[in-house]
Amino acid sequence: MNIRVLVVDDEKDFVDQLSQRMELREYDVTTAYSGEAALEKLRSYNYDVIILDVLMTGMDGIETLQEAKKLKPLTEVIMLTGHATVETAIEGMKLGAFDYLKKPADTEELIKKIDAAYSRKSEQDERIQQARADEIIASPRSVLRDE
Amino acid sequence: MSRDDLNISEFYGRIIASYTHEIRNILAVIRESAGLMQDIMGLIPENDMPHYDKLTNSLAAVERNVLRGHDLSTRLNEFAHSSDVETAETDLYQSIDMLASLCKKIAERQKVAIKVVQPDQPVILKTRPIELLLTVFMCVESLFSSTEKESEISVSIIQKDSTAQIIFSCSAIKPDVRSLEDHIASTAQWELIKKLCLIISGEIQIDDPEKKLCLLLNPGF
Repeated sequence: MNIRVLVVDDEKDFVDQLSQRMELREYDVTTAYSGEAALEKLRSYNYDVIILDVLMTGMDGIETLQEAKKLKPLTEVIMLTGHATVETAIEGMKLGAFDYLKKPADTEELIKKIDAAYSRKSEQDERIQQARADEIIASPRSVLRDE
Repeated sequence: MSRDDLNISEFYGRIIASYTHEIRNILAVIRESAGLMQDIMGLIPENDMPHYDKLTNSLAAVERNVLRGHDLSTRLNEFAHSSDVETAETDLYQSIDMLASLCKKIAERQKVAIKVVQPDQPVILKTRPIELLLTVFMCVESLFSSTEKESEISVSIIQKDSTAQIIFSCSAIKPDVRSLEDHIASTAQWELIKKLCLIISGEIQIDDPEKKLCLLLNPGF
C-alpha cells in the first residue's frame, strides 16, 4: 500500500506542484488548501503523514496540528515554515509534530522525512496491534468487553 | 533619538519581514514547478526529447536562482527583524556579515568589495541592533570615496574585555587622499556617525597612519 499523505497549505500552486511530484514517486496524495479543509478530510479518511504549512490564513498550522492530533493521534505531521516561523514549528514539535522543514524545501529531503515519519507511525501501529493481541491472548473475554 | 523616533524603522521592518515570507512562498512554488518538470523529463528517454540539454540547463538555472533568492530573502528577513527590539544581545559578526551581503550591490557600484572577517570566537554584545547596523553601514559608506577602485574594505571584530572594536580598513587608498581625517571628518555624514555612536554607547576614531576607522563599543545597556 502506498504511503497516504495529506498536503495542507493555503498556497494552492505550491500544493498542486508538490502533490504532483509526490504522486510521481507513488505516494497516495490528498490536498487541502486550509486547516479547516484538512480537518474535514482527516475526519473521514486515515492518512499516514500530514505536510502542514505553519502560516496559513484562517486556521493556522498550530491550531490545525492540535486538532489533527486530537482526531488522529498516530498520524505524523511535518511542519513547513517560513523565515519567522521556525520557532512556531519548534512549538509544533513540542505539540507532537514529527519534524519541520524550511520553505522552499528540498523535495528529496522532504521525501526522506515523510518516509521516516511513516516508519515511526508503522512501528507505533504495530505496537498497538501487538498490545491488543497480547490482551486478547491473556484474556479472551476482553474482546466481548470491548464490544 | 528616542525609541518613539524609530517608528519608521519598525514600520519598514514589519512590512519587509512580512513580504520576505511571501517571497519564500513564491520561491517554493517556482522550485516545485521546476522540480516537477525535471521529474517528468527524467521519465522520458533523453533521445526522445528535442532540446533536452537546453531544458536541463534552463531548469538548473531556475534551481540556482531559487537558492540565490532564498539566501537573499533570508538575509533581508533577518535585517527586517533587527528593528523588532530596542536592545538585544547581538552576535556582531553574524549581524555585520548579514549587512555586508545586503550591501554587496551598493559596494559593487562603487567598484569596491566588502569583506567581513570572522573572529575566532563569537563577539556578542548587548546593543541597539538597528542603530548599530546603521552606524556600520555609514562607516563603510564613508570609506567608499577614499578607497581605490577594485580594492576591498575589510571589517574585523575584536573583543577586548567587556568592550568590542569594529575595525574598518581599506586595502588601498586613492592616491589623492592624503589623510582620512581631512577627507572624512568634515562631512555631514561623519557628524551623523558621531551622533549614532552616542546612541549605541560607542566611539568612532580615525587611525590615519593605518588608514582605518575604529568603532569602539561599550556595554552600555
